[in-house]
Amino acid sequence: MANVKEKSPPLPGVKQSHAALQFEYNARRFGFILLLLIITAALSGLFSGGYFSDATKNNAGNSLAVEYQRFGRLLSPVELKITLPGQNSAPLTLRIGGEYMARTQTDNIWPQPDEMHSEGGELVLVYQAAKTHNDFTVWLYTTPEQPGKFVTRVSVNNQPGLSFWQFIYP
Amino acid sequence: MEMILRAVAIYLILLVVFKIAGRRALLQMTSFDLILLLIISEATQQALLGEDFSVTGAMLTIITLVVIDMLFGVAKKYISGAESMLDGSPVILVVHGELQNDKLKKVDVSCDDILVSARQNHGIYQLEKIKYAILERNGHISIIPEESES
Repeated sequence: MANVKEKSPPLPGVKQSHAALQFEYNARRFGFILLLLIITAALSGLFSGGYFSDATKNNAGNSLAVEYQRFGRLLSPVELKITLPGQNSAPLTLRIGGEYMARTQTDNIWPQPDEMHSEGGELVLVYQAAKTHNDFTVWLYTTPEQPGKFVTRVSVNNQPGLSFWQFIYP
Repeated sequence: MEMILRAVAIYLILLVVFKIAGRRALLQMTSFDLILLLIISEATQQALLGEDFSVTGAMLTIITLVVIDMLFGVAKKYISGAESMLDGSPVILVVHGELQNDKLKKVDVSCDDILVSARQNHGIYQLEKIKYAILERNGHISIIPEESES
């Protein structure tokens, strides 16, 4: 470092700064590592779909399973898959609550429910003709409208429900 | 409020990323650099405006970006060392035809970069004929030829 100063003759109008040069060098060196880490984190799913983001949760009786993404981005569509393995009762009343209604906008639901309404801040989907003894799956395509962490609660008929958290990046 | 926060966040992200990329990033402007610049501006535009296509939204974004830039300008003027840290300081890369290798490494400039600038601006093609080569704050390389040759 010393020879940097020694080899730099004073030139009128040119004010060299050793500290600024070192800062620039470190910013590029460590900054590049930081950018690589961000890309690695994105590839591994820390910002949206990927290994750390894709998650499945079952309720206590394994009568309800939800596949979701832990991490999402504001205004970027997110898929929510709700499966009822070998359900044997009809009609099915699916309740999606928690902060779901306040934090996200539901773009599409497939299959379309026979009846849909909101009740006490929950989205209620009723399927009259669900076939018994088969897995029944509902896909919800939603768009997060607020950043931050929020919890969604899902339950079917009177069975034990489950809740899961998601984090939405701004 | 969201528009202003978006503009501030994007400004700071671009500031950090281009500080990391170095002062000569995108400066040489090859055809690929031009395409890269267009892609970056497109990605930035989406993040800045989101779903808001109103004139008011655009106005708020523009004003916020200009005001932040002015604030940084004031900081550079009145805070000692701020300009050097944000924009870098001039760096003398060649002294009487001799390369300052340590500095070249730190600013990521090659001997070829210096010779390109020397050829383009002064028709010099030999390192020995360069008295000083200075990397300026804006990333350009200024060449001062040896007096005997000029």
